[in-house]
Amino acid sequence: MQEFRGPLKITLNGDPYEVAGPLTVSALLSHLAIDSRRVAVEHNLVVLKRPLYESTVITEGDQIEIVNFVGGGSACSPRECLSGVPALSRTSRAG
Amino acid sequence: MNDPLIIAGRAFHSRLIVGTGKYASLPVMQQAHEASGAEMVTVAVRRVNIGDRTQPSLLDYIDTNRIFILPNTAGCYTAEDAVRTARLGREAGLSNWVKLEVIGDERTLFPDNDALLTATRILVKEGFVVLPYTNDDPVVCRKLEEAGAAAVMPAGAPIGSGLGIQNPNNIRIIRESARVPLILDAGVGTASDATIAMELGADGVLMNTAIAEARDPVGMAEAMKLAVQSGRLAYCAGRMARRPYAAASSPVEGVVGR
Repeated sequence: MQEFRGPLKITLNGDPYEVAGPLTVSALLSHLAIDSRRVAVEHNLVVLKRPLYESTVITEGDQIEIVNFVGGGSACSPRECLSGVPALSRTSRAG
Repeated sequence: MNDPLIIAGRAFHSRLIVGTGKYASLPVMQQAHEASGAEMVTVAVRRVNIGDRTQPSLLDYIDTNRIFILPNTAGCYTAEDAVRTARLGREAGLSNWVKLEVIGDERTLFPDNDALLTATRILVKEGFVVLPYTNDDPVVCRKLEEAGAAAVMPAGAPIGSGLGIQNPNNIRIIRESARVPLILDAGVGTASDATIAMELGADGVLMNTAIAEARDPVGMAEAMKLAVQSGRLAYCAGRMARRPYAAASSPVEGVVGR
């Protein structure tokens, strides 16, 4: 891994996000104070298995989704659900 | 009475499945779950709120030793989104079970059955235990079963409507041909709705709003527990036939003054 840690521009949960990198998924979760056991992570539209968090490196332009379980079903609009956080973006994967 | 609900080889002693949405608070939700006796609850899969880390965690209020978590694909309007969400739910959770919802209309929340069937086939192939939310169409239920769904979950009425079972005859027809468990999912408003579902032969009932939006959710949760139990007992006991006219209960001879 490079010694130089510049700002990485990625997309995190649908929004632009900058973080010093490169860094692993584990490191990102740590940085965000997120317990890795209670979430699922999608890295460039691929669901990442938990054992790979330590070894998967995030690079410039990567698209990361970090999700967890919240109260609700289809009857809940995102505003009403306990977390109030919108669902995954509906943009289709390329190709 | 040992009469467990068996879905994909897993036994549940409660035939009531409840949701986690729309509660005034997580402690109230927890108390309602307790009162309901439910052994399975549905949860939604949503982005972690990166900006606000102070939000309480749903899982802190669900005892996963006693309660089985069923992730749903709420909020998904395409097969692709539902499949993606299901995969994330599997990774975040403790099982490969998913309550599959693919919504076709924002106002009625009716399912998009075409996309639902597509998503079911994909997820079954990937080894998921798929419980699809659908409408009371016996043909769609048959197709979902053929696609490998572990249960079929027709709605009694629109999600969150509390209207009760709008088409009991359809539920009865689905019951006749379904060879996987039939869970009545959506539209229950009060206890008698749940009892009617069980009397029609449903193997279980799934509800959220009926409990969460009751004035006393914990009280309603208990009512629902009893409603599902009594409906199941009535169904198993075999009800009397309906008659168009009266059939007297007492002998006609020996009446004084006749």
